[in-house]
Parts: sequence; C-alpha cells; structure tokens
Amino acid sequence: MKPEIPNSEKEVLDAISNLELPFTPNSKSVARQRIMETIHNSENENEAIGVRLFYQAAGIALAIGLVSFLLLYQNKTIENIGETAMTCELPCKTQVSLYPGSKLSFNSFTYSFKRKINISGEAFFDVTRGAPFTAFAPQGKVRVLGTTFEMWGGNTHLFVHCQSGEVQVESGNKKTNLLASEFIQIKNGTPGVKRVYPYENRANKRDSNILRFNSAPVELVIAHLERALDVEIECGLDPATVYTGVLNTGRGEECLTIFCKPFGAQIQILDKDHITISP
Amino acid sequence: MGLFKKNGDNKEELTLREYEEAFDLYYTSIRNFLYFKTSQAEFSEDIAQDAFVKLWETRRKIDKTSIKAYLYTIANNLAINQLKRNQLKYKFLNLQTERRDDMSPEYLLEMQEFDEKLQNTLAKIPDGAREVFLMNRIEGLKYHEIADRLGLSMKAVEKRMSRALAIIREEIKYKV
Repeated sequence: MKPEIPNSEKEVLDAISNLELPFTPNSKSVARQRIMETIHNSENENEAIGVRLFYQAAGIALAIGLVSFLLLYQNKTIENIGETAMTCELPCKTQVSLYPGSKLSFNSFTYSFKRKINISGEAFFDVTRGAPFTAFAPQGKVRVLGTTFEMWGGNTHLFVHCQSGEVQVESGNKKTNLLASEFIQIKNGTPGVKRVYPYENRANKRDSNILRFNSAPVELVIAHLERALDVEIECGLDPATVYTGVLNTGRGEECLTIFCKPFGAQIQILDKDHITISP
Repeated sequence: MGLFKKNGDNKEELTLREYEEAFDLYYTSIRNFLYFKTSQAEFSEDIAQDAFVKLWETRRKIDKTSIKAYLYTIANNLAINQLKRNQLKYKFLNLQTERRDDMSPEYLLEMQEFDEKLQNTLAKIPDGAREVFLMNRIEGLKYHEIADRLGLSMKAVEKRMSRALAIIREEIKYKV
C-alpha cells in the first residue's frame, strides 16, 4: 500500500518525525577515527614544539650566560702600585708605560674587536695598527688614529700629548685632533688651547723628580708641575710664554719658586692642594 | 566515568577513556543538532568533529560534570562562526519514500510538491525553534532533555516548540 500524502497537522508532524537524517551508518566510526588521528597528530606536534622550545630556551640561556660571563668576568685591571713606571702590553701588542698610582682596565673579550680601555692616572701609549683604539678618562676620551701619545687623567683634568701620528680628544661634545708634538689640557670639562711642544723634548721621565723644559709653553710646565706635585695651580702667566730650565720636584714647592723667578711672578699657597701664581 | 587526574585549578582533567566515552554518548546528538541548525550534512559532521577536538584541547580546563552542555556550546559557536563566513541555503532531505511501480506519476508529483513545501516550511522556522522542534520530533528528546543539552529553561524550550508548530500550522492551512 502506497503512503498517503500528508494533509493534516498530525500527518505532517508524523512525516517530519519520520525524516531520515542523511548520515551513513558508519559516519560515527569514521568521525571517531578522524578525531583520534587529529588528536594524535596535535599531541605529537605539541610535543615536538615543546622539545624545540626547550632546546631554543636552553640555547638562549646558555648564550646569555656565556656573554654575561665574558662581559662580567673578563675584565682585566692593571694597576701600578709601585714607585716606578711599569710597562705592560695589551692584547693587541700596544705598549703602555703605566706610571705609579695609575690604573688601566679593559675587557679582554670585547677588546679583540673594540680596543677600548679605561684609564685613571698617567700612561704613555705606543698603539699598534688595527681596530680603533680609545682611551677613556673621567674628563673625556682619546681616540687614537695610529700613534704614540702620553696622557694623564683624573676626575677634574685630562692632559694629552701626542708624540707621533694623530689622536682625537673628546670631552663633552667637543672633539680636538692632535698631531705629533701637540698637547691639550682639559680642566673641569673645559678644553684649553691646543699647543705645540716637541715630544722628543719631553718634560720629564716619570722615574725621576727632574723636569727638563726647553722653550716649553708655560701651560705645559704648569700641567707637569701639577701632576708631579699633586696640586692645583692657578697660573696668571700668559700660557703661550715659554720656559726653559730644569726643575726638581723632589724639593716640593721650591721648584715653583725657581720656575717663577724668570717671570718675576709671585706664589701664593692657598692650602696644601691649591697654589696661585700671579705675574 | 573512570579515574580523573587533578590539575592545578583543582579541576579534574579528562582522561582519554572518559573522552572516548563522551564521544560515544554525545557525538550523534551533537552532529544531529548541527544538522537541525544548518541542514548541511557534511558541514554538521565537520563541525561536530571540530567540537570534539576542541574538547580534547581544553580537557585540563573543563568541569567534567558539564561536558554535554560544553560540547553543545562549542558546536553552536563553531557553527555560528562558520555560518557567518558561508551563507548557507537551507535544504533538508526529502521525505524517505521508496519509488514503487504502483506509484502513479501524479502521485509522485504530488509527493514531490509536498516535499518541497515541507522543506520551505522547515527553512522558515527560526534557527533556535527549528533545532528544538527537530530534536523533539526526530530524535525524540523530551523537553527537559533539550533544555539540559542546550542550556535553556523548560519555558524557553516550550516557547520555541510553540513557535515552530505555529509556523507549520500556518503553512499547512495555506496548503489546504
């Protein structure tokens, strides 16, 4: 018997109830298999990602540790606590004469590609060719452009005397290039005038108290006396005036009297660290 | 249900065995629910499978006592998101009638017309009401079971059923 065409509410509702859903009998088992495969693949992928992340994290941690170690523990400090100048050699074969009471430091890891050193005190450098060489002092920095030079630097002053080649002295925003024989002094952040004094006539030998000057600018003489006597001298003489003579700093302030004599200048000792010289 | 692992949030992690049990219990009804919602068989199967994959991915966060409601919510959300992307055209299956030799061409034509009418009627019922209506009529679920699965109140289920029936009645009247 063929089915009737539904034409009442009940018949229509029954027809709806008898609608068959369009899914094959095995659709559930197929779905189950697909889901399990997806889950399995996703677990494997997560595991692989986890392992990869672990190795990446371990690698990064190792690299950070290594760099930290190299930066923190590869700092080398050379300090001259003796009474005579000591000669040392930097990794690039640059020779440094480090004068008594002076300290030099650098990082031996970074030095191989950036020759940077910190200096406090006095030193004479014979810089070898290679990567740019920079000496940092509290009052500025000296960039070497292939040269030999002498410098000393404290918290308030920086003195640089170029023997050969060229150096660049930087203090604050101001840069000054020094050629052979030129020197400059920076006091309290203010650069002085660049002057010439042949380095061959170098004013002193650090191991002795004797300072020899031959037509040396007064400013240079004062700088050396300040360094040797460890005092601050306010000099009213014309800085370009030259001085020739021998001064023995071992005799203390007596050498100042000898220095002032040709200029007829007066010395006034303000305290143990401050002296005034007036014309 | 079997053993549960405790996780950090003090919720019980679903084990693989429990997950498979949940699949056996709810897969068919989730798939059918999606079909009632969309009228697309392949789409319903895909979304139902996605919902179960999602259940596995979130097995550490879910509350095991609400897996059924959770599955319906995921399935519903996935379907809505997908429907936003693809505008579906409703087309339910034809009535299951076998063609027999004793059926006249006039009868077959009449049956085909009724079939089209029924499809149009079902498509006219709003989504929420159609799901409820078909879950009741085809799956034979009781109102409280539908309410439980869809997270609805009994009143809401009754209201949706009334709305679906009203539309069907209206269509039949028009036909008659």
